[in-house]
Amino acid sequence: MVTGLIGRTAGRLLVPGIFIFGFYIITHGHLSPGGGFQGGAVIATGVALGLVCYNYRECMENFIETKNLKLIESAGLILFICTALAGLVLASSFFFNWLNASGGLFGDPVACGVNAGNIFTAGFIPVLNFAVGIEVFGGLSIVLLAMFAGLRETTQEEDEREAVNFVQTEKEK
Amino acid sequence: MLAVRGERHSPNRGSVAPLNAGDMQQAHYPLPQKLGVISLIIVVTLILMLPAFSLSFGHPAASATDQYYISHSQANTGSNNVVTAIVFDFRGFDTLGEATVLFVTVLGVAMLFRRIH
Amino acid sequence: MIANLPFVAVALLIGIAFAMILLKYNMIKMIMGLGILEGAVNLFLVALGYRESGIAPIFTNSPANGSAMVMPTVQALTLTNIVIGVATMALMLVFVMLVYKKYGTVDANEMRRLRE
Repeated sequence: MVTGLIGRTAGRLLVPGIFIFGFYIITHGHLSPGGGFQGGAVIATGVALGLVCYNYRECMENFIETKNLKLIESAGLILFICTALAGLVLASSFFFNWLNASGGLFGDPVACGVNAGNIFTAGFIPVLNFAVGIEVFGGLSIVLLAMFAGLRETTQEEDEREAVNFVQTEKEK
Repeated sequence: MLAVRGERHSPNRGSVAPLNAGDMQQAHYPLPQKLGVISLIIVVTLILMLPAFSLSFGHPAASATDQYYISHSQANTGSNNVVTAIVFDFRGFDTLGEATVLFVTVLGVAMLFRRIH
Repeated sequence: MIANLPFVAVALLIGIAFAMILLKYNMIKMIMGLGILEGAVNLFLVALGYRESGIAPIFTNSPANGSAMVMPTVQALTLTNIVIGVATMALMLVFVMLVYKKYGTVDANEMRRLRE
């Protein structure tokens, strides 16, 4: 079934906004409500909207391929484990927050108590947020695409034939 | 309009005898067993009502762990969001297992659908 | 009793979920029951950590008068539960799709009859 003009235009307008909102949730995970899992799920809903507005083949050709989504997901998990392992190498233990208060990237000292929030704080938590975010995005998108590929999309002629058959059987009654 | 690809009914379905009323009667629970299941569900629900009378909503028991997380999360991890600090720093191994479970699930889904194509 | 309404709702939701899992024969409805069970457990965890007039456990621009924060550990556990629930539900739905492809039905009894 081919989605109409209104659905396609709405999808084209909304999908980038949903992606940016999900990215905002991921990057501000240590300051505001949200985090990697939630932001990744929001981005995956953008992929779902794209699948609804356009058909599967168009999505595969123009948007993103399942192979690349698998790559993104694996990269997220590998980044997660490597960031955790770096704590073992550079500091004392596995999952040690080695970037916190180091003065480097994400290493600004945080003011204790209520503060306005600085995005370059919290050590390796933003890195892990990003890793988990792209992993959840890739994983949920692969699940959606796999379930969608198990369904066959009917063509316009088949839809019309079905409608004609329906009208005929109704008349026979 | 979406339709499931391929044969709606499997080939071996034609060889099975058509379903008649007696089979349907036998296929479902007999009545005493069904009553037993329903009473079991009611008993389980009533047992689960116990927390509703023993706990008090809004006044949880004091928890040293939660107090430690709230008062030390900014100094130890630098994160303003205490929940994120717990998920990614204090209980990082939990999150590692969680991410692995998600990865393995997606691997399983992709593998199961590869056989169809 | 009325003050503990969330826990009563948890008990009722778990009862509904068990009824759906044990009494229904449609596998999609069984999975919906499992989803309701998961939601009930999440509600129980979040209600367990709520403090009266508490604020969210976030320091960014929070109210400065220092009212108590709600408990953060149960919220972290709820987050874990949600993600694991999504993963298991996706896998179960895929299995149901495969079963439908092979047997042409999602009814558990019908499927057992066709297998024999």
